[in-house]
Amino acid sequence: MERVVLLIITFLFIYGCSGFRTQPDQMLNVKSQQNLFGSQAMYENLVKTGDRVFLPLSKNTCVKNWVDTYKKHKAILKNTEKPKDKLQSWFELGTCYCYTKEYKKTQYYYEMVLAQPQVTNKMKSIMNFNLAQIYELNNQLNLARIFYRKAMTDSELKPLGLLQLSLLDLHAHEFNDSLHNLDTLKRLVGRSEIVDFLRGVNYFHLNKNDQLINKVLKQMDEKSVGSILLKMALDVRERNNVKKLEADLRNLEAPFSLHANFKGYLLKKLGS
Amino acid sequence: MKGIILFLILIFASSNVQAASSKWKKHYSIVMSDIRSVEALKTKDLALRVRLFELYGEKLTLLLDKESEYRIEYLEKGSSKRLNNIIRLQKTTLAKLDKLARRIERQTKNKKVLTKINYFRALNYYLTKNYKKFYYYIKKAERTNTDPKYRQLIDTKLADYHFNEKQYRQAEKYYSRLIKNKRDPWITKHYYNLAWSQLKLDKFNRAINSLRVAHKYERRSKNFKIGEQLKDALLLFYAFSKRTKEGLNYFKKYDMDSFDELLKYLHYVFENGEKKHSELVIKRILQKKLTPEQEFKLLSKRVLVYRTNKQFRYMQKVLGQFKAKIKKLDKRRVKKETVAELVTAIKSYSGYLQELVKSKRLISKKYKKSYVRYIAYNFSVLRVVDPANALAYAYYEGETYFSLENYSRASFTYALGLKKFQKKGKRSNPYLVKTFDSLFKSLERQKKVSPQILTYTYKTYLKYFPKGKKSALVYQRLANFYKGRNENKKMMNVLVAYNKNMPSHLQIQKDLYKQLLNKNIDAKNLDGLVNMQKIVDSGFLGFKKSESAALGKIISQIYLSRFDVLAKKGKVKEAIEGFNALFLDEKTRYSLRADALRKKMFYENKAKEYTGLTESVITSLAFYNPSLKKKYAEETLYYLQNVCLADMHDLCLPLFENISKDKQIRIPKQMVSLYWRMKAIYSEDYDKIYAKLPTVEDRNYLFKILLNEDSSFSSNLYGRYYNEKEKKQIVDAELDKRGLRYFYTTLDIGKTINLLKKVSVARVKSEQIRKLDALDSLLDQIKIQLPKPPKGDVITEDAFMKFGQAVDATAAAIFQKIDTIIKGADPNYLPVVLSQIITKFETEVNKFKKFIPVSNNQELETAMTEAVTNFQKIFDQRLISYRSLYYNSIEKTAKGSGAKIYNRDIITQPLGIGLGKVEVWKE
Repeated sequence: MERVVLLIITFLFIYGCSGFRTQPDQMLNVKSQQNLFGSQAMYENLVKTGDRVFLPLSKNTCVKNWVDTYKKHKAILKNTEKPKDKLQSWFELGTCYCYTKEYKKTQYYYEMVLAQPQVTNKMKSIMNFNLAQIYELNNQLNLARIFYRKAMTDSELKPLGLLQLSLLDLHAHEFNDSLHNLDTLKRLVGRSEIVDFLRGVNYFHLNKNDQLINKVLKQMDEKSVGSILLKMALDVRERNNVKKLEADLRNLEAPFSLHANFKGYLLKKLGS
Repeated sequence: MKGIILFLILIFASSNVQAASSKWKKHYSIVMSDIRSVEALKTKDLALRVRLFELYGEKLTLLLDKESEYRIEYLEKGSSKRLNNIIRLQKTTLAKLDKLARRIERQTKNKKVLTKINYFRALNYYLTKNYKKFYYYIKKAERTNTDPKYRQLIDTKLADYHFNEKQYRQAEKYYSRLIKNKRDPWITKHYYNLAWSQLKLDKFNRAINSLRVAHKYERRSKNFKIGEQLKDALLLFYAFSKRTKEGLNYFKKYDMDSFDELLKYLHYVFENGEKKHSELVIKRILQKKLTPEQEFKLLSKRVLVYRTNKQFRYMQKVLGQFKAKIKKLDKRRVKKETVAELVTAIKSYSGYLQELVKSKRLISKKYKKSYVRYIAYNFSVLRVVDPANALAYAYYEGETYFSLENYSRASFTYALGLKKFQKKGKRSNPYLVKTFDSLFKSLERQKKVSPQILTYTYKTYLKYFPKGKKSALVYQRLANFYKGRNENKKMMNVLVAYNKNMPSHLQIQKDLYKQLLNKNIDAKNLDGLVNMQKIVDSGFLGFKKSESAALGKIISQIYLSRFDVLAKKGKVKEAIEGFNALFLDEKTRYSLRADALRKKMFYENKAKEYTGLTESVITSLAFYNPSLKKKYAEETLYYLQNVCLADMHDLCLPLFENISKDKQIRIPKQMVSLYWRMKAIYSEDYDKIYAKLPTVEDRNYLFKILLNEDSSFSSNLYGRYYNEKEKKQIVDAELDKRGLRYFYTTLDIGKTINLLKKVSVARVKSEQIRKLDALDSLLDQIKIQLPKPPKGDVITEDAFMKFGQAVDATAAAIFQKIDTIIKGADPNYLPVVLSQIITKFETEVNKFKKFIPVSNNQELETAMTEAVTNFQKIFDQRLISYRSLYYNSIEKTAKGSGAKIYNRDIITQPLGIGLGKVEVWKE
């Protein structure tokens, strides 16, 4: 019911305030708006971790102020005639549409950018990264890997690329590959609770408890959510003192999505 | 009926004449008969002679009566015969009367008889107009008379005689005698004549008194009525006697102050009385409510009075008042002769003034100027009084100003006269040419001419004289005048009229046309140029179509430049509106509308007004004819490109679609690419889009879109892309792992097959489905069942032998079958197969392990136990090897298959990693 009300309010807001037309070039429809909200929530979730691996994301602007960014670049595109001058705006708009999950538009604008000789390597890397993310979300994992790798030619994007590749491997149950990427990532970013946590998860699925303890948990802050979860994972596997374990798990606060996922997973395991 | 009445009147008149004639004859014959009777007597006494004298007197009277009748007849018919006879008879009769009178005088001394005879002798001579003899005999009768009756008669005759002979002193004497008889009904006349006599003798006071008495007797009914004469005399006498005011009071008292009477009185006062008193009478008249007729009459008289009194300034004032008043008067109620009288009066007065002005010595220069002004003004009054001759008066008025060298005023006056004349609708007048001549002269002599008068003069002249040598000059001057004032439309009208009336002056007209054209161009006078073009189109001055076309171009340039200027001033919006209005005006020429639309688009593009621009371009497609479309195709495409590159998708798409429908315009490949790329964002008809895409790059783009939109690879379009090597690799790579991944996520062959069935690329789909079908088939084949151990508390040797042999045989078969299944399994699915084998085999082994052989024979029992244990060992080893094989198979599955999650144990249920995805976008 709440969701319906939110939908109606969103609808009224969009059509009431902005006077959008239901034309192809409309700014945001209801679905896009919802998608944007989702993207913004995810972004905040990542940035709030304060983890080094997500540091490059702090420069993102469109996710924070989508409408203004959109309007700004639309205006530039309208008022500038030379494609060379339009380049940056096409690029920015393409990325903005990632947040609303209007990937066709992203593809359109990125293609416009790529057709220009003035396109920079940096742009290319970012576009590849985002396209990889799109492919990943579309379950086109082979393409996603290819594009993440392409994106990683830019040093700034390498940590994120490695992170995403490691997660891809994780999801593909290629734990060793994932670990390999995470180790590389760890070397790049240094201390990262997320990286360690993911390494630990890999060791967990590889049944390498010793390594999990020695190579991961020892290096992590004991009080970190990731560390606690990993320790609990070992206990879950051993099924020692199940009731207390379940209670502890439930009481553990895990705002970051990956932590929350893993917490849910462990609880499920305990129940089975 | 009228004819009958006229006839009856004539008959009646004729019968009256005949009756009168008959009566005269009868009377005459009676008189003659009596004469003859008395003459027939041989002796005649005094009485008979006196009778005969009376009869001849009667005869003479009758002859005198007849004389007047014959005199009229003579005048009418020219025949004097009867008149001469009558005169002859009169003379004879008079001679006879004289002879008889002398005889009677000799015959008697009787005073009474003598008085009577002389009185009548006097009367007879009076009747025959022999006044000398009349007077002689009347005086004779006076001397002999003793009879008061005869005295009255004699005094009357003598008074009248003296009065008629202007012997007023004697007349006064006799009338003074006669008035003593107050009962005489003629007393009114006697007083009247006495008054006249006294007047003539300058006895004004007496005369007035006598006249007033006469007036008193006049009012008595029995007395003789003098009537109007008496009133007239009263007016005159009061005037004469200079007792004007008294007269006015008297007339008022006796109701003798009608307008006519007072006007007459005014006349008498002015003519015969105290001139100064004229104004008194005028004032009295002015107290009355006057009819238009009376107004005119009074003014005539006043003009006379003031002129004579030299009250010129006052006269002018009066004329001014009259001029102001006349507009309100109903002039139809004024008789022509009255108007004529006033006109004459004013003319005479003005003539008099002119004489004064002409005279060199009579008046000073200052007065002369004033008088000339008066004269001019008087003509203006005359124009009003006598509008029929207004042109003439205007001419003279103008001439007056001209003579004063006041050319401006003169020209105005001439023009005004012409205007009034023109209003009457008449075409000819003796003063028309004269007035124009003078008007032109007066204009020529002015340094600064009033433009209104100048144009009016030219225009009016051309109206009356549209052709002629002078008219040609006037046309040219008028055209040049308008040219100087930038009144180009009027100049054109003059030119058209000039050409119409004088077509032979073509060269001059062409020169004027060119001047006008340049003027209009300089002034950017669009209306003028459009008008010129219309006229040129009708064949004016023999111009050809090329001239019209040239004009058209100029007009377009000016029209457009007007809004261009606005745009240059930064008022682009207004400029666009202007061009739009010009375009929308259906009265405007097509080419100009097209240019306006082009300009509109130009500025819309410049101002980035892409919504308007899109509408304009679409409009232009409908508006342009094929040649224009072709001509301006590049422009159209340029605008399309700008709209599309401005990222206005909602405008770009319909604009492209409109343009692409047009066969005249070929859209370049680049734009086609852009359109279809954009279209792909909003459409899902990818097959159609694919067919339209012009380049490989575009198709690659669409492939990427397709990957985004159809991650399940269900579109048939993938089939086309699958023919391309690179695309095939991509599709294969994605689908190959996808089936496996899905299977190891769900462990559900059916669901995985269903997922794969959605894939449109048959080759990939069928291969994977085949593998899954094979897996399914293999899994079905995994039927592991060891022989059931013998039943019973005690196992016999035979029974165990049989069981053992069966186990041995079955196990061998099972192992063989498992080996076959393993060999037949796809390596990527082998972990599933092995998991199934292990599970089923382990179940059977566990059942087997529950079998404990019991025998009464200890040895047998030990042997059986050993045999069973051996079997168990074999089975366990098998299980170990299968498990080992399983772990190996996990490692050997393709990278990314998802099987490695099952690395801890055989596959029994789907496992996950406990992590979701992290959606990360980089800007």
